[in-house]
Amino acid sequence: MAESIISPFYVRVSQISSEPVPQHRKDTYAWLAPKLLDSRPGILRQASNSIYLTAEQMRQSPSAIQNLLRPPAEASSRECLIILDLADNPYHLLREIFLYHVADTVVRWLRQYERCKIVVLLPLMPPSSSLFWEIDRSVRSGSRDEVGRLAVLASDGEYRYFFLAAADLNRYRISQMLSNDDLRAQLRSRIVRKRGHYAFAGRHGIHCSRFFFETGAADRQIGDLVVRWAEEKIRPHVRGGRFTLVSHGKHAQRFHEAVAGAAAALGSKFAELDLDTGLGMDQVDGAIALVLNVVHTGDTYKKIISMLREKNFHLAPEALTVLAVDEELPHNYAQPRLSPLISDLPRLKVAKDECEQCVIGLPHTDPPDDELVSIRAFDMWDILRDSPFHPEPYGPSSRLRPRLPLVPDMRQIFSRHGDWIAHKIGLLLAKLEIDSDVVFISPEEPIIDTLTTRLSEIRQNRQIAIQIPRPVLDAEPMVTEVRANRNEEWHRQLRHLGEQDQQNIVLLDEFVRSYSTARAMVNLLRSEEFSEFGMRVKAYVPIVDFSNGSESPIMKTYPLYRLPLP
Amino acid sequence: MMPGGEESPHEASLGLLYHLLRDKDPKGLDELDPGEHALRRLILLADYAWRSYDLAPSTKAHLDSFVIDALAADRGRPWRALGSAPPGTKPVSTKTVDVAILTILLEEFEATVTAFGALPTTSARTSQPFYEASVSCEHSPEALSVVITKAARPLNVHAAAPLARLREYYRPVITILVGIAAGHPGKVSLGDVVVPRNVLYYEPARLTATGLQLRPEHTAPPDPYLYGFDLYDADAGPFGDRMGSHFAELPIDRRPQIESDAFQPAVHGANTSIASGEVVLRDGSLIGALRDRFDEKIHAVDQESYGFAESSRGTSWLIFRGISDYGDPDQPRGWKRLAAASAAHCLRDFLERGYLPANSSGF
Amino acid sequence: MSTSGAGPGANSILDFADRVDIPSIERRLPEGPAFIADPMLGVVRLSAATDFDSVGLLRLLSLAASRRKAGRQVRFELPRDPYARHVLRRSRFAVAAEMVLRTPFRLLVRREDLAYFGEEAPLQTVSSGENSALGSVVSYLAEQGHFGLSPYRVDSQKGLTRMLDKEVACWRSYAMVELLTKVLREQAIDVSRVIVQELVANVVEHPLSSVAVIASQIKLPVVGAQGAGDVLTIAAWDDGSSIIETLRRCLNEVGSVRAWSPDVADTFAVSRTASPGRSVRYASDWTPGPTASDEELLLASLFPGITRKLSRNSVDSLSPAAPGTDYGYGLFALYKTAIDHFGGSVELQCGRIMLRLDRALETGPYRAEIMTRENFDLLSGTFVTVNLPVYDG
Repeated sequence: MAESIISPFYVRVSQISSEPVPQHRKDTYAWLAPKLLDSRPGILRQASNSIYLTAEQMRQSPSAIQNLLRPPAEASSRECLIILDLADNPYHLLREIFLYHVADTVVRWLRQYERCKIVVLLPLMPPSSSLFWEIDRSVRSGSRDEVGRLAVLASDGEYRYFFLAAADLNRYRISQMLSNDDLRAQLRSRIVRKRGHYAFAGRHGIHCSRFFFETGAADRQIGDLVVRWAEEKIRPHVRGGRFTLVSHGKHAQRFHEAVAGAAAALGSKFAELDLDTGLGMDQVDGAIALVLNVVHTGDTYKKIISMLREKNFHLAPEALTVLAVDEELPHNYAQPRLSPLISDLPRLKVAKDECEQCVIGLPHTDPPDDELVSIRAFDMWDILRDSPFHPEPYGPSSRLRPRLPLVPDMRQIFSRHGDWIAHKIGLLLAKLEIDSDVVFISPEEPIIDTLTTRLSEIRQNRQIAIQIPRPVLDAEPMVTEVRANRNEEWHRQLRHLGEQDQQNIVLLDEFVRSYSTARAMVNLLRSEEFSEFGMRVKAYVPIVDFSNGSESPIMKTYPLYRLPLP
Repeated sequence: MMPGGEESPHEASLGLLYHLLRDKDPKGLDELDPGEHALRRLILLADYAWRSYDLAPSTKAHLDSFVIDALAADRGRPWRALGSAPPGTKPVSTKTVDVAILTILLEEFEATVTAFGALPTTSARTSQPFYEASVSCEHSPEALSVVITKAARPLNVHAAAPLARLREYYRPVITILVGIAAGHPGKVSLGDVVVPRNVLYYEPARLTATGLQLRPEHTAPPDPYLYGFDLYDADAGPFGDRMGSHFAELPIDRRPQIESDAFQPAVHGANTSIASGEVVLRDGSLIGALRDRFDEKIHAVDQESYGFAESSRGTSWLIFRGISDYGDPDQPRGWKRLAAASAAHCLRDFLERGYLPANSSGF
Repeated sequence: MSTSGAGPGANSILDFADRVDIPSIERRLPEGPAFIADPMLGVVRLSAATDFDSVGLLRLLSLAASRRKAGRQVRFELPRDPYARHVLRRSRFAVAAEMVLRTPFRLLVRREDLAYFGEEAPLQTVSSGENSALGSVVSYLAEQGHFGLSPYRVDSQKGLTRMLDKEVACWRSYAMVELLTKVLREQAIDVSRVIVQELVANVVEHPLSSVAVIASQIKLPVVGAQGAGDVLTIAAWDDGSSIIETLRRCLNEVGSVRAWSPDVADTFAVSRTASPGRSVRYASDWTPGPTASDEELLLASLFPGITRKLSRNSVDSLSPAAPGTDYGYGLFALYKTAIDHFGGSVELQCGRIMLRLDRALETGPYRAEIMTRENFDLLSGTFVTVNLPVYDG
């Protein structure tokens, strides 16, 4: 008997362009297929790239998915297993109309290809009232055989129409979930360590810090970790299992909301603690389980405990802090034990009269209100002091400009400070009102990859990064090289991008000197291959501007720091 | 200029000098190649030179002296000395002011100073002039403090520097560009005032096979009501009479020709745009072409509005332009001063009767 | 008309006291037509109000918008009670009023009420109903602006996209999903995925709209005592052409409003307040013809496959070139999810017609009650309200 054909489709919605299918999904298909074929042999045809619908298509023409999904050529004559994988999409983006069209496609294929099995992977099972369940009505009114050839499986292990062995369902469910370690890793990657000159009040007066830790991008991770902590460490140890989550943290609204969400999940009361106004008795039920955003010296923590005890509130035996910075956490047997989620972030705390920035007369930086997009000179050279300078390792062809004899080690800078630089770029884009569906186009250099990954983690917005190989940007004439690369990933992505009406294209680069790279990227977008699309760049963002203050000849340029080279 | 502003040149200079002086004794940099160290300090020096360029002369002289210390091996003051500056070299702490007015041409500056009865300030030690005044405001319990200044040079690209200098000394609640512009003859008359809702920058070009194609950029004041200008009725107040009197009081030789008996400029707001570019208009055709191609609401064209708007991004701003000509070779005599006066008096009337202060408490 | 004893030439006044909510506003709506038409200054007196309901506030704004559309001014008298002012503030009433009435809020209130501008929130901001665990979370989220009024400029594609992105982000935020998971009977994320998305998508369908406002509120049950008024309400109003107007225009131009016929046949038992005790059956595959009444058009707007997107009306720049199976699903998906999934109800209001839809039994027909209220104000635009019952978590 001929082997079955296994044909997965990795489907993504509200995307800007197609992307490679992630390895973990390919592994899932390879694991799932034998189980659905009862271990019969099959030829797995892994797709390289996703099938996608843009946000605009999801709004105006979600039926487009029907044209994008094509069954394998052998579907009429051979046994096939088709995997429609929508599980990697945020569930809230799967519009009802879109699910209806997916269902319609499934029903058509079941009827047309009698030897095909179809499994649909979803992030969550839609409710019974969903238009997706047109599948149900259609297959139950069809032959019994259709029901037997269909399966729907959600990432939480819920399923319809078939079953895997319980152990396999559990394994699938676990593979889609995040462990505590995963959550902590995600939390860490979303913390932004902002550089500046921050003032903190402590027991011994004002002290200054070089860093402020921003946790706003990690609200889900914080919420889930707080829930797990409370269930394990608080509920079993308080009378009647009753407690109130009380949060404290300055300039951290998303942190407080995360804790409020955790309180809802736990069925406990919630209150945000303001040290000036305190807490009313009617706001608390049971023991107080304290959750702090950041603990520095522990002085504020002691003050909070003292204040709560004075009012005769009962405290849970443990308190939680998202971040604890370099000093040892205070531990006094009279206080609840303080546990951190992340504890090894250095802060560089100094007393005000020893603070270099205070001594030389630099004002304090106000974290939420006063944030400049560009990098302060003090901070920039603080970073550069710790980074070696070396000859420019790569860049435009020497025909366009000579390599720079000395440039900072951007790889090291991005690796140490990439979160903050990504945060600055996010801030810039927000101020320019370019804050969703952003396409970053950059030369194909490894450092930019690091930066766009951090951007994606911190901004949590839809974005895509397209990297153009250097030989293409340096080619003269460019058109020949561009045409020769028609089958390359970047070329395909640009063509897809060009077909969309609304493009938020931002050029990203490590630095600018002569604008030759920027000019090349713009010329690429205007080249014959793409000129019909009229692609337009919204901004050019080189991290450092070495161009000696010359005006950009092409488009608006927003460097994070201008550093004129002598 | 970056949206939301940039670090002040003084603060940047202090930060750079700190590193220059500190680096003199490179503890922890023992492994650094001497050549690399020297080149790095050269780059740091170049950065300082660039950033300190626009500082007030006395401040710059004081800070420059630290550069010598930084190069003087074991001699010279340590970085801590940066914190103690002689009197007169530290800028005065920035003062909050309700309204900052930027003008470009001398006629504009003089007309505005006269309209507001402003007097020169002694606190800012700089070659850029600062004149201060106050005006009453119906929607504010206190009179509004006003500062008027003048840019050294015209054109969009030069609008950033005078604004940066202004912000070294003042923290304005709103910044307003006042001056003259060329108008579209079908829409405005000489002496009229245009307060645009939209600013178009028409210089960015896209090269195509068929030639230069203009692709304008847009920006608009952040407040959709233009801080109350949307609801301001110039005709309901004294602006018209004031301008009539102003015109009548002009010496004959300075009084431009008008067709009617009295000078009664109209004020155009609501649905108007202004186009801004680097080209000085002289052929009379550009405004019409821009209207036809991009925005039929263009009432006027100038050379500074867009640069001003971009440099003010993230803050409150408005533009008041008096129409002095129609951008054609026939430059009518005497209208520059009068148009500038129209814009300045209109602004004053608006501040007194219609302005909703940008920092007034919301409900 | 409540004119407080004033004689001819006096301002016309709509007076509200205590809790300002939909029922109290509906009681006053018969005064609406006169209020809108009166050439004197129209005053909405809230000085004796003690609490507000966001959807009620939105209905009040739609009334004020009608007056503005008639070229007449409106003023609000702000509440004397500090807590009531705080609720008004927290609901973002000022921002919404500014956008709907296109006037800075300072110019929409009495001069003496300017003294309330910039005041600090009263210390006691927890009302008596918010002392439960979930109540404390609701109270906190309300203070952070998660409920209340959210106004949007929608006269551009950018504005519409921004509205969709912002509303979806708000309703799928971690805290909101965790709260709703506790109090709704079904999967909370479907509020964002279906209810909010389709409400907003429906706004997009109304031509000539420049402002849209989304209003929301939640009333949690008192512990152990579930009541009919314990609901999560999400409503959307816009000032564009109404559902009835757009379908009528399409019917007149093209002769049909059905893009296609899906294989679905929900049944509706339709009653009219004008004919109590009588109900007529409609099926969702019914197609209204040129003689269909406005009430029937409003009902048909819920049916799958019914859409205005057959018309190439030049006024409506949002019309696509050709119909297809992507259109006419939004309100269908909305009511299926609101009613069948969450056990709630949907209301549509256009002009003087209100349609209320729910279902008594899971397997029975949908109940559609249609009221034509001749003495009410002619609501401009479209008002869609979804009510989802909430339970003691």
